[in-house]
This record gives sequence, structure tokens and C-alpha cells, in this order.
Amino acid sequence: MSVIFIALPVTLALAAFFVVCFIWSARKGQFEDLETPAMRVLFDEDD
Amino acid sequence: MNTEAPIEIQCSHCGLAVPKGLVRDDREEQFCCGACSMAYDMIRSCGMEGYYDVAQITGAARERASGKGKRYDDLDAAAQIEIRDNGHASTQLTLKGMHCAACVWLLERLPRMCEGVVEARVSMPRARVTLVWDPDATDLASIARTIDALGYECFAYYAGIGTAHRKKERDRYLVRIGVAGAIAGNIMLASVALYAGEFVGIEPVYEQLFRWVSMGLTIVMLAWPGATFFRGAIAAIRTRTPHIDLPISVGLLAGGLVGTWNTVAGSGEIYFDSLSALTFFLLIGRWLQAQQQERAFDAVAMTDALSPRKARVLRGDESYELPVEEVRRDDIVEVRAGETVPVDGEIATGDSDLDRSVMTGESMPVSVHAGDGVCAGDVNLTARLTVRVLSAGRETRLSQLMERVEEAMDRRAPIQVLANKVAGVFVMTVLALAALTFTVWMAIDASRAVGVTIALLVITCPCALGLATPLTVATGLGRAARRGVFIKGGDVLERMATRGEIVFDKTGTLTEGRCTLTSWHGDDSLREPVARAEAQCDHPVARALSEGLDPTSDAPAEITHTAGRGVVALVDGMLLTIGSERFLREQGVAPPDRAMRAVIDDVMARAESPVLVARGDRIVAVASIGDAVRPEAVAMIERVRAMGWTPRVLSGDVQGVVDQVARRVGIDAGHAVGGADPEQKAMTLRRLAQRGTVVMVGDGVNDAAALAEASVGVAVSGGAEASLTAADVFLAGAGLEEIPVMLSGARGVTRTIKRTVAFSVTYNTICATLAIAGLINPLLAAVLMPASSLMVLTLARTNRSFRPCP
Repeated sequence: MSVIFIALPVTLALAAFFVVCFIWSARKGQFEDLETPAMRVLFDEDD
Repeated sequence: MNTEAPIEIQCSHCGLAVPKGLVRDDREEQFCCGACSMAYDMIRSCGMEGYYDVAQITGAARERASGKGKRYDDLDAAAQIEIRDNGHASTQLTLKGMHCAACVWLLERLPRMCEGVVEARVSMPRARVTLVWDPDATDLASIARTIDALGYECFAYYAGIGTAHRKKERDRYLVRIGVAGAIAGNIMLASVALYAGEFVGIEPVYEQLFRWVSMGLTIVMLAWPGATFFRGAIAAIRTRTPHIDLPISVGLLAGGLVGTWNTVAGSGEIYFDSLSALTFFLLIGRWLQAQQQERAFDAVAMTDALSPRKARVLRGDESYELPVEEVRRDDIVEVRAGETVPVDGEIATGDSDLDRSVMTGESMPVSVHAGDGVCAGDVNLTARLTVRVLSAGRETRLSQLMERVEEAMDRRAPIQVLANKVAGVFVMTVLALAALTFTVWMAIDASRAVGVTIALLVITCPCALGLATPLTVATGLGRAARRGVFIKGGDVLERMATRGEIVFDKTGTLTEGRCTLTSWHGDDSLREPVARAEAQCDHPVARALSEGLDPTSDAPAEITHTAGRGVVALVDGMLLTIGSERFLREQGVAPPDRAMRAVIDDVMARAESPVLVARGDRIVAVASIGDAVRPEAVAMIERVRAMGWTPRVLSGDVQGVVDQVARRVGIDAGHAVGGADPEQKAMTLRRLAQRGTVVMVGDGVNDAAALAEASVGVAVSGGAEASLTAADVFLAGAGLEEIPVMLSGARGVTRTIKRTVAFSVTYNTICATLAIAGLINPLLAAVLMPASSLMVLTLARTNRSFRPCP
């Protein structure tokens, strides 16, 4: 069970990494508009 | 069997049913309205037929095109245009009528339709499009005309006061929620191990590890996302106003401190899981409420600017476009027909009709001549005028009125919402109880005194209370917004949830706010020719006549003569003179006979305007033009009264007309006040607001100051920007029938808030009793705290306010 002493810091580091990603995307305005991009995927690029 | 159901003809643009009268046999495409027809032609001519395919695929609900065919000449001056480094200009426009993916598709293809446009990015939830264009190739007005022709009315978007601040605040909340969520999740994982250990045993070294990890995470939690509550609590102490953050902070701090102490000491309860989950939930609740409130601010953006920011100044033979701030007294400003007067002054040359509804709230045009005074905001309807400037910029009556509105809004004391009031009592009670518990336990068992007191402080942390209000308010505001009722905040709901007085503006609120044909006396066979003659004039009265008389053919009449207040037309070989009594006399028509005289007097007695129709030189018909009462007004007043509100009407119009309207909608004669200018309206509202709750419903700029003075200001659609800024509620596109729904919805939301508060208090009383008795153990605490939050979530969701009436 002593693997927990390695696993736990690793999980926390992973969590911290994703929190940083989240903060970056929030500051970049990725959560500004959650509706329009979902609609854009419906359009063909080349029409 | 072959039954032939009547085939409903669908509009080729929006797919909604085409009214029978508009079905045209001579073409395949059918349209429900002019805007749709225009949008369809525009889309086709741009080769954008794909729009209809996208609309088909996404199967979105359909909506009529909302283009107005406006010129948008003022838009370049009104919009906040940013010039980028590469010389491209960029701005945001708010659009009306965007409703589905196909709209996004169409608008983002604007660069292919409109030369000079580099990029168009749509944000659906904000109803906004960000445009980038080359200022050398095109201007904003022509882009806006294209967008309008596609079926979307455009408005310049102003990042109003506080917009940037609110956005920053929302972003910060989002970051806090993310951090709090991650921490709460990880602490939960550690707690699973710890609780499992409680039952099946755990090696002390692992137990200590999980406790220390939980502690580390909780410290981050309290120092970062949780600091929101501490800041709120400090502000509450500093201003000595009770706030829900205060008891929350006490609970968080007490739990955090004792948890840390126990972790270091190596035994005892740690509470970290409850604290982190609580912080996470509370932040989500607040964020949801902020999101819903933002919708109201977005809706308000769909209005026109009050008065132009530039003026055309004539100096010598040259004319210069100058910002209004640079216009000096005694300058001569040119105002063409259809433009808004940018300054206060007096008319130097020209005769025209003015729409003064901005200042007076009255829709009937006023005819003006050289020497008459004009105000910034008046709309010049018929002919070119030159105006000698008396004051411009911040000195105009309009600007001063706006300043008054701002003052009134600043003065308005913030209302303590129920949750905060309860929180004040709450925190005092809990602290007193804690002191008492500590003393009593010191006497009974000194070793347990600290533990029991802390348990009390933690367990009574009013999570339910802190979560209840934002959640209930967010659901209420969201549902109201779906009905077209935009409410700027939760406190507004609580203020409306009582009974009191409700003051209505007349023009544009109780009435349609524009000239309409109210009655027709005389030969019915003349309706058609009169409508056709008037269809060619661009004057509110002419429009009222041509719309009200419903022409069935487009064959144009031959206009032989037209002047200020009337028209002479040759229709199907019949010479018609239509206009005011004076105009007819000037045209040599015989004076009205006794019967016609009686009709004219009757119309005048109703405070409406008679329009006389003469065939040859004899008066044969009288059309009465007035401002019709909105059809839903009577039922609305009745319902509002049944709910315990006292309706009043307060108007700038003459007393006689106000009395008429009051009688028709069922407002007591004693409660109808006319002849009030904007300043008097504001004074009246201030006086009423001192006596009790008063809701003001209005539309124009002339109501703005009154809206700001009222306990709750409600702006109806079509209103000017100023009245929307001053108002707490905005009825967008919604009729008057939404007013009783809004009032009862506010009651519903407040009732739910009260219910959750009652629940929260009961729950905390029980927990406090258990804690004081020393019966709370860690597991019980961990179950009880989220249980109460869940309970509150359920209660908030069951709130049925603003649902459609059964």
C-alpha cells in the first residue's frame, strides 16, 4: 500500500495541471459563449 | 377517404402561416410579412439559399424576420468603433431576431455578401455580432442595412457602465468554481478512504496522510475560492449591514481552524470534506444567479441611442459634421427629415412636424415653425429644418434629465434581501449560543468545551440559507426571461412581492403609443380610396389611416397636392381632399354641415384628432385618429387590482385624455393624473415611494427619472435606452399581460425563498440542539450538512413561479 505515497502526489499534480488548464481557458474566454460554437460544427466549411 | 383539409400556406422565409389577406396567387413564394419577403430576396440575391437548408437540418423553432428597413445613418457615429493596427475597423452590434443555427450560418457569411466586411462572429446567447470591416471599402451603416435586409434589426452595442466589471467578476467566479470543484473532488476521495477506515479500520500512517492532504487542500480552498466569503464578511462588518457571508465565514473559519488543529494533534474531527463541498455549492449558486442577471442587461442593449452624437453644423456655405460637444451656442444646425434633433435650440428656418415623444411621451406629432423651440431627442418627421443652438452636449434638457436619472439611481438605498436580514439575526444567535455552550460545558466537562462549541459553529453554518436564495432567484429569473420579462436582480423580486401602488404611464404603456384609426364616420366606400391616397404619404397620421383602413389594392393614387397637414389626391377619377379642418378650408372645401360638425365635436371631446375627407368640395367622412388603448390593458388592470395593488395613471398628456383612458381601463378617476412633465413625474414617484412600495411602469425617456425613483421600475418594450437603464425590469416584446404574471411570479419566488429560509432555520435549530448536547459526531456532521443543501436544491427546483398560467 505504500505506493500511495507516490500515487497521491501524482494525482494531485494531475489535478493541479487540469485546474491550470481550466483557468487558462476561462481567462481566454472559452466559456463566454457555450451555444454558438456548438452550432458552427453543423456547417460545412467549404459551401 | 380523401378529405381535403384547408392547406395552411407557409411563409417561404420563416415557415410560419401566411395571413389569408397576404396570399398572392401570382407567385410561388409566399410571405407572412414585408420583413420576411425582403429577407428572402436578400438571401437569394446573395446566393445564400443554404440558409434554408441549415434551418431545415437543425429544425429550430422559426421566427419572423425582424428587419425594419431602417437607414442606420446614425450608426457610424453611435457605435463604439475600434480601429485595429491593420486599419480594419471593428465593433459589436446587438441584433434582434437571431434565433437558431441558420442565423449564425447566415450572418457569419456576411463577408461574402457585403463587400468590405472582413469577419463576422456571432454570439447567440448575447444576441451580438462582432464585425470587422475595411473602412475604406464600406461603412457600418451599409453593413447594417444588409443585416437588416437579412431580417435582423441592428442596434449599436454599448458596453455600458459596469459591463466590463461584471464580466471580470463572472470570470473570477468561474475560476473560483473550477478550483473549488477540483479541491472538493479530491478531498472527497481522501474522505472515502477515511470514512471507510472508520468502519473497517485503517493503518494510522495512511489515516494521517489523508488527513494532512485534506488539510493542505482545504487551506488552499479557504485562501483562494473561499476568500470570497471572508471578503464579503469583512465588508459586512465594516458597513455594519448583516450579510449572509458573515455566518458562512464564521462556519468556514471555525471548521477550518479546528480541523487544522485536530490534524496537527493527530485526532478528532476534521470537517474538511463538508467545508469544501459547501464552498463549491455556494459558489455555483452565486454564479448561476449572476448569469441570469446578465441576461437582463443583454436584453437592455437592444435599444437605440437617445440623441445623435454628431451634428451637422452650417457655417457660411459649408456644413461640418461635428461631435455635439463641439457645437457652440448660436451655431446653426441642419436637421433633415427623419433625423433626430441633436441639440436644444429654436428653429431658424423651416416648417415641419416633430415627434416629441422622447420628452413628452406623446406620440401625436406637433407642427413647428420658425421661432419654435426644439429639444435634443425630438424627431424631425416631414421637412428639413435649421436650428439655432441654445445648448448642446451635456447642457441639453435631455442630458440633464439623464443626470437626474443617474442621481436617483445612486440615491436608491440597497434593499436588504431576506436572506441577509435573517443572516444578521442568525449570526448573533449562533455566537450567543456558542458563548453560552462554552460556559456551560466548561462547568460540566472542561475538556470537551472547545470541541462542542466548534461543532456548534460548524454545523450551524447556514449553507442552506446561502444556497437557497441564489438558486431560487436564478430559476425564477431564467423562467421570467424565457417569457420576455428581464429582471435585473433578486432583490427586485423581493421588492415586488408585497402589495402597494402601481403607477402606469399612459402613452405607449396603457395605450399603443402611436396614432391609430379609432373610428370612421361616413361613407364606407371611401375607405379604400382614402387608404390608397394616404399610403403614399410618410406621416404618422397618414400611416395610421392607410393601416387602419386596410387597402386591398396597391394601385397608387395620384397625389396632386400635399402640404403640412393634408393631401389632395385623384383616386379612380375622384378628387379627394383629406386633412385637418383648416387644410380643407384653405383648399376651398365648404365648411362641415351640422351632422358632420357634431361628429367632429364628438371626436374632439374624446381628445382625438379628426381627419376630414371631402369629395369635390363637400365633407363626406370623418376619420378619428387617436392613441388606442392596448387591448390587454383592461384585463391586466383588473388582475393587478385583484392581487391587492392600487393602479394609478400618471401622464404628460392633458388631463381630459388621461381621464378618458383611465375610465376605459378601469382606473379610479382620483388616481388619474395628467399634465405631468418628467420632473413632476419623478417628484410624484418619490413621494409615493416614501409611503410604501410603488411600482412604476413606463416606456419613454420622460419616464426614466420616475422609473429610477420608484421602488421597482418596469420598462415596456419599445422604450428608449434611458428608461431601460433606469428600470429594474424590462418587458421585451411582452405585452401588458405579463405584468400580473411578473407580480405573482415575484410572490412565488419570494414564497419559495421564505420556505427555504424557514427550513434552514429549523434544520439549524435541530443541529444546534444536537451540537450543544454534544451529540454530533463527524459522520453525522458529514451527512447532515450536504443533506440540507440537497433539500434546498429540491425546494428551489419545485418553485413553479413564472410558469405559464394554468
